[in-house]
Amino acid sequence: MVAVRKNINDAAVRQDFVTACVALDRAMSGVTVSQAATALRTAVPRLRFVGVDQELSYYDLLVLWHVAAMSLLTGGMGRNAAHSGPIFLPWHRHFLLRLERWMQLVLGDDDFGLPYWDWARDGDRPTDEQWQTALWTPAGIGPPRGDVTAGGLSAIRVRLWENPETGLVESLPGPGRPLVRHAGEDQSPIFSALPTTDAVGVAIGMTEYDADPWLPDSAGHRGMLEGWLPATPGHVVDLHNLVHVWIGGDMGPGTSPNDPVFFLNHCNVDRIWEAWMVQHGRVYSPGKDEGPMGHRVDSAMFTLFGESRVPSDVLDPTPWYSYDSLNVG
Amino acid sequence: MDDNPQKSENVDQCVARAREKIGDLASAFTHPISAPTGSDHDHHGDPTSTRRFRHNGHECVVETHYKITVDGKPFVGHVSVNERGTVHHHGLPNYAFPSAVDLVKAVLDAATRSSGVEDKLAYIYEGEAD
Repeated sequence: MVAVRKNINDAAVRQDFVTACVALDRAMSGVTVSQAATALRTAVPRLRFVGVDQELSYYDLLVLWHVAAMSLLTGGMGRNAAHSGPIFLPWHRHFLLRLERWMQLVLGDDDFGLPYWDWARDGDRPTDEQWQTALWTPAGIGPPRGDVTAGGLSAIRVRLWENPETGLVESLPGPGRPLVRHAGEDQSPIFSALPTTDAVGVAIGMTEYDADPWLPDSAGHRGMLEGWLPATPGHVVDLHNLVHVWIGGDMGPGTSPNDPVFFLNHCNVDRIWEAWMVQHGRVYSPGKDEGPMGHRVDSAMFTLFGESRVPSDVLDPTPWYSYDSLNVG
Repeated sequence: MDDNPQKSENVDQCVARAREKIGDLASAFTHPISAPTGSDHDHHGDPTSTRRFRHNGHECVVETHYKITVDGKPFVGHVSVNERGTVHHHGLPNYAFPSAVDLVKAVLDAATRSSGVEDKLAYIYEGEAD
């Protein structure tokens, strides 16, 4: 069987997702912060840890993997091993596949598919309504503002947090702290509302996947979907990036997978990319001998554990999953 | 949206399956992890942002290097300018700001969650430059 990824509004899928997140956050992996810091010290010199030594959960290892990839610069111009360049979409597909497999294992359900949050539908609502939908309730994924102390995800504990000011990853003492969100609190007109379906439609209309010189905001589907090339006039970031910014709190720094909404956002980003590929073909650029190292079609994607993949391995997701709907914009 | 209470017995079962099915991952961290080919080993990255463009037959280069202090101390991290003229900082990696002033304010606001915890991991980095 192949998993079918569904909308987070599906109550059964949502309950399984929350349960699996909490279980992976509670189950300890056998890896300590000091072990991880020592193993990554040479390969990722920008990544430094402060605070207590403690054992990390499986969920924490996903947080660690993401912030390590983000700290691994590739070819200058702001690119890193997972962002701000062509590798962004395949790397996150690879990343979500690992979480999805772990969730299938802990749920005992090989058909479980990650849910997506179709944020552009909410972005079409009036700004004041966007953070007050049923999603942001205890029965959904918890409150949109302040500490997440209600609902199933209130059990999640943040143990690793990248301090935006120092750049250091703090290993927090004791049981850790609850998640924190500031959804829709920023009143700046460029950050105060979610992306819209019109903006997604512009990204779907881009004919190229990415373009030379492969900068964060190069003119292509990837640059627009990642959010460096705004689809909305007057914006400075859009789509994926704007969702991070709009939620704020733990969705801000490189440790943003701390909040499970990270995965709901990226599953929707992946769905939009899939919709683009259905329309434009399963193509990727740069090829083998062009563009920055680490972002080519045959570049090994940075992995902390388990098998590594290259972008060409993941262009077709049908061996693993499909989406219940590719109606994205 | 339907009520969605967490059932502790379900979570407990899932925790047990995680340990059984995923197993101990410590072995993945017993040796240094390799960076992929093409990774930069420069600790801080280039602090100067360089934008190049042609205009009316002229080859133009705009280099930008910010000097920012907070309470008299250097602001940590590289503030870069992208091709569109907005500014960016590694600490808030999904953000771009219209100005460096907006950026510094946002980074300081986001850092208020710092735990200020006693550091027991410094020994790992002994002998390295900050």
